[in-house]
Amino acid sequence: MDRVQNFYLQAYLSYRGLFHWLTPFPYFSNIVLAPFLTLLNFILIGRFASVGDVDRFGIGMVVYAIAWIYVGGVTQSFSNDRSGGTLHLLFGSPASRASAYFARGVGHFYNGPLTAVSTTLLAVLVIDLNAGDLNYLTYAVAIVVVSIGVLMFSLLLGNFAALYQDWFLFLSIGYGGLLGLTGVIIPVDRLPTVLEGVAQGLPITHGLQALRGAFAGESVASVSTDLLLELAVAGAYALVGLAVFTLIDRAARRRGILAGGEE
Amino acid sequence: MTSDAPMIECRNLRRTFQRGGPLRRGSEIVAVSDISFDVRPGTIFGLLGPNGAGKTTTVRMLSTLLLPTEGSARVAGFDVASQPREVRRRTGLALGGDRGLFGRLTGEQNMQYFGAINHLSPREANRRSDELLELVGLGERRGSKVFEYSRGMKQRLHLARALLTEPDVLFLDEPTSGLDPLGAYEFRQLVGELKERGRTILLTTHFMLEADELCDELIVIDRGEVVAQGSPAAIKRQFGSATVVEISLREPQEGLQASLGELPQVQHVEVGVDGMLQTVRVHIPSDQDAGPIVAHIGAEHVDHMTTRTSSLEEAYLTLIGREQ
Repeated sequence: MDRVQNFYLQAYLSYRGLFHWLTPFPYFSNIVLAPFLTLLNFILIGRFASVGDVDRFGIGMVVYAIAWIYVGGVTQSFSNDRSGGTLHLLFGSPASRASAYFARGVGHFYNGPLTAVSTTLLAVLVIDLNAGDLNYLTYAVAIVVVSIGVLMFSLLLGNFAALYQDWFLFLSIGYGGLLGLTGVIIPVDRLPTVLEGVAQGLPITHGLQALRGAFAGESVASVSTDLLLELAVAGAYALVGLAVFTLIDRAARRRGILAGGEE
Repeated sequence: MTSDAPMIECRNLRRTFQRGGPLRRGSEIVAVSDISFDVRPGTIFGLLGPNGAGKTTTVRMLSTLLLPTEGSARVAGFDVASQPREVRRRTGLALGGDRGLFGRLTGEQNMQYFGAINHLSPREANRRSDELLELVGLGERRGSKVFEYSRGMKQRLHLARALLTEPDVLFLDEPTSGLDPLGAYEFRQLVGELKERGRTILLTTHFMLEADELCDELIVIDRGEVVAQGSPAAIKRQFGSATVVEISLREPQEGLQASLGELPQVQHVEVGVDGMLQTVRVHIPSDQDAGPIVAHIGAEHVDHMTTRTSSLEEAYLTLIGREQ
């Protein structure tokens, strides 16, 4: 029981202590405003360019909003953990590495569904996204599953943000990769073959198919293959991310990489 | 571990760092060259040395944050390289400076976080947190965000955090660096209290007063090597000038530094001004008399004179100067 309590305590406090967008304006900007403006951009470009089905951009942007808040939030948390010297102390403690690693993501979790729902509402209200056939249960399950996938991907990127001081590079890779390759804007089957292969291993790709199914009124059972594939991708990122975190711990001891200036 | 066994044993510790990244190997930097010492239980042991001497690297190795490149160390009976988890359960580390705390959390929340990662039950962590925050004088500010704390308050929070697991050994790395004199004094009082409670403390510092006042034993390290070892008194005896003669003159005399420096028993001369008086500080061996110095200056010119044994700072400067 203490372990569970300590896990959530660690998740809550590391989130409060390391996520710097928690003040009202940055939080509102990143949860509501930035995803909506990005959505608006693509919808308007689509309409201006006479793209037939601009709703596909709208649905894509609902899941991209999740990537926006997780990739930015989690990577900055890892970077702040390093620069503030608290990661160094974590590695010098008997803490469970698996627990510490996943706790750094759990605190962020609710932001994904929150921004997805707010982006969906704004898309329906402002740009007339068609939600007439929406299957609410499938929508909820798809949002949660995509959130898990993107969160695991963000945790993996977070490792690199802890390792390298120029963490914005990883933010750009995360944002760019998920926007361009997962079907948010361009259908995956229209990508070059190599990139189509890459897309199969990225979060969002399969979950977005499930979400599109939800907007078409499909049940959870009928999109279950996509949901399971999305969860499998999430699991792979979770395992690889934890392995990288453990390697960073060892490298920190061996090479002194987190010391922040050696004496 | 028997009760009289050393709490910390270091044997020929060495730590080097490689410049460059994983793809491009650069030159090797030797941070700690060869350091050996033992720390007895319930004592305060000092690592004294200038910036870059290797003090912090030594503490990082002993607290398992860094692996030694060569040599071995045992803390509380456990090997720092092969049994890091055991060492971590028995040690606390307080770093100097602002790093190592969550500025956006309160002091109490910081304690709860570190309790959680050290496997304390939330109830136990809260109990100890209350006690320790009171002990370090932060009881009334426990609910304030840490970024609102002064430097001294942050240092005291570092100390409370390090004590959370009731460690056998406490590592204090430059704990009073950047503190004002009152803050540093209060911190030293706290460390003294911890020793009274039986803690073994390893303290790194470059403040001589701190080392002299707190440490039972110390080593002076420079460029990663031990250059002196013993109690502060022994080091002062061994490496200090032993006797310092301080004289205030009624009127200034020219060329005094050079002429006094030529006297055979004089090791070092400093000439300065204190208000309207010229002051002369002369270091001589303890078996020598100040008479020839007074005779050289002329007794009629001496306003007043004091003699004292040399301070640890003077011994330290002798040592470091000798090494350089």
